[in-house]
Amino acid sequence: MVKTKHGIEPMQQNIKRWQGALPRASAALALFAMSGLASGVGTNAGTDILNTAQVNYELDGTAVSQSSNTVTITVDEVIDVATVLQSPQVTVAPGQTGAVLVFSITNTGNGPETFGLTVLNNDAADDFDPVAQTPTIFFDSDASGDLSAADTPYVPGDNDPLLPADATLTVFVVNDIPAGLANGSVGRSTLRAESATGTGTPGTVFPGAGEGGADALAGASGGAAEATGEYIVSDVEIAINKAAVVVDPFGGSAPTPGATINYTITVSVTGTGTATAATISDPIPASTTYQPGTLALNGLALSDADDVDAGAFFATAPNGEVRVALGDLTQASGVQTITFSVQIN
Amino acid sequence: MTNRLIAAIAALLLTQTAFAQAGKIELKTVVEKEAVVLNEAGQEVTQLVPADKVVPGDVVIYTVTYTNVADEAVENVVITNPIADQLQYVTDSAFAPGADIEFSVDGGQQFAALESLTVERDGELVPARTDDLTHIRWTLTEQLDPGAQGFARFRARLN
Repeated sequence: MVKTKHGIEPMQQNIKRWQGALPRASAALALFAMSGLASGVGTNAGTDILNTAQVNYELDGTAVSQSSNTVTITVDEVIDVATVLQSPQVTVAPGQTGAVLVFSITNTGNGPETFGLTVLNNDAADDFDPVAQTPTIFFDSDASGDLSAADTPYVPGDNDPLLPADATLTVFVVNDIPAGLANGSVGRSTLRAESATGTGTPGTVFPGAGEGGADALAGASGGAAEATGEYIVSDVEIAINKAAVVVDPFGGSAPTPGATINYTITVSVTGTGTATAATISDPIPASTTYQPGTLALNGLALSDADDVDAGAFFATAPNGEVRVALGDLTQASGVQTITFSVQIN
Repeated sequence: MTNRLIAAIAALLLTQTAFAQAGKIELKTVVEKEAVVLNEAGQEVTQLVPADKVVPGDVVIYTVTYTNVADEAVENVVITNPIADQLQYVTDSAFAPGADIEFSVDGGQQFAALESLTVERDGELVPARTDDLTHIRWTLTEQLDPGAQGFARFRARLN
């Protein structure tokens, strides 16, 4: 799978390749907002807690100290799991392949546990059933929060994840979207995580199946948990154009050192859908320097600082980039025009 | 309360416990938990059962019984019981007829009433919480006559 990229390539001929990625921009951005769900889950299974009382007294004026017998309680294993959707509703195009939902799976029990994962796409109440790719589930092996080439595919029964108590695993569920769907159609995809030890009503005991040979028992989750993500079809097409005008210091248009390049990016939306949270980011080309204070949206200047206005210049490696948040765009939004200038070094 | 007490004492008598050390006072500890069981009439009743296996969230009940097995009275009887790190004392659960109850937050060095204990948290002295407690202590107000017996008890929740 290819990591979703949402930056404009510096050169105009590369822009086409990038266009298809924009409807997914909101999903891609959401990945960065992921957070761990770590919280205390209780004393580890297999822990022995010993207790000995002591008595001190005086007998004929002599201080005496004695201990009681020692009693031990052993902590059994509780099997519990939480599956949580980490993506907002993902906007997709009809026929789109590789639409990603992000989930977290947390071992909320008190011992290490292996979980089997399944994806269910047969929700009866939605408008369409997403089609699971093979493989369907990927682990976030490189902890990027984003599906990338380094991520390991999940093979049921082969690499079922073993999670220590309290550990959280991020997984990606990859589905294809059928063609020919109407705008606004919703399809759901459910990820289920199930304890390998067993599932059952809370309190169900699995004798000897716990950590260190102790009993295991099903916790509040019953040893299995599901979360459901949603795709919404947006019949929206986005056209992006980037034009460059070179002005050299001698009144001509030669791309010489010291010449200024004025870039104009236009974004327009057609169709009946909405491109949600559209963000344009454009890395500054090599061997050029962004000219401070030149960023503008629809003729209105945007400050370079990352503040309340829609745009900012970020000093990211290697040459920085400009970023403009266009918000939710529809056909009615009209053409959005972003301008900025760079100087050739 | 009375029913529970009777059940508890009955359970105590049934519990097999070895005495760790011979002395003038026989001291024994049992740990139990409450379980809801059906009685002969099919009604749900709460009983104390051995707490050898527990899970986080369970409340366990420690009961320490003391008996003077000497032929003379002993004085200044003080019983101390640790509260393990994994356990949190249940507020107001300490119980011992004829004894003063105090707590420690410093591993048993000093004892005081729970209300007057403080701990340092974020650089400030603040009232101790039940999860700060490390020990509980019962001080008998009277001497313990030959053959006399009593018990001390508290509840704690497994973290």
